[in-house]
Amino acid sequence: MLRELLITVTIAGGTALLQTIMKGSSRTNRAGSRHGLSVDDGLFWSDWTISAVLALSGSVIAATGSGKPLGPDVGAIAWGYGAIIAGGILLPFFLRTFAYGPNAQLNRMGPGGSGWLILANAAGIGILFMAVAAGVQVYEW
Amino acid sequence: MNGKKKKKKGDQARDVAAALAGAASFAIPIAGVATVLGVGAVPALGVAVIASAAATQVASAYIRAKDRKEKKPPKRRDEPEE
Repeated sequence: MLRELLITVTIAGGTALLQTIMKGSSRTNRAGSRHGLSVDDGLFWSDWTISAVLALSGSVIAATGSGKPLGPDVGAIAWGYGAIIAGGILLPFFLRTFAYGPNAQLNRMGPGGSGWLILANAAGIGILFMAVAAGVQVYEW
Repeated sequence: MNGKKKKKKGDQARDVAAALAGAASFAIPIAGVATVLGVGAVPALGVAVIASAAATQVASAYIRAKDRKEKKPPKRRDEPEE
């Protein structure tokens, strides 16, 4: 299971890096800056929540397609979809209330000012972890 | 006055609800992974809820303090210069 979680982190981190490079290289520079990226471009929680939906749903579909009974794993599936629902409904409400100020600007928190960025991404990776853990349990024979 | 008070209460309720939503967004995945990995669900959920609730409370207190600081009127500088 830990191996799968490590692979998840690597893929999530790698795709986030690739996404940032692609965004940065496709944009013109902002005034007074050497790149066109903004703080919001560092937010990946929504991408990781969608990845969680795909990972868990893929595992469930593959397992049922192979004729595996899901009865013993219903708890893990419930935790997985619970985390996805939290990421889709509760996390946006939390971020809207606390993380953003007027004009949809991300508030600064912590020493580097990137506290909200880290917090939001941590929640996203947690949700992806949950979906992968549940998916592995569902798909394991 | 009364309307203002009501709005303030509503804002507080929204803040509490948002803090709980944030706590749940962290607690559910942590407790879920712990359960799937074989750690007891109840202790994991307890620890996750307490940790995330504390984190969100600290965050909201920080934001409120910052808001208060920003809303403070600037010092009057209408004293006659000599």
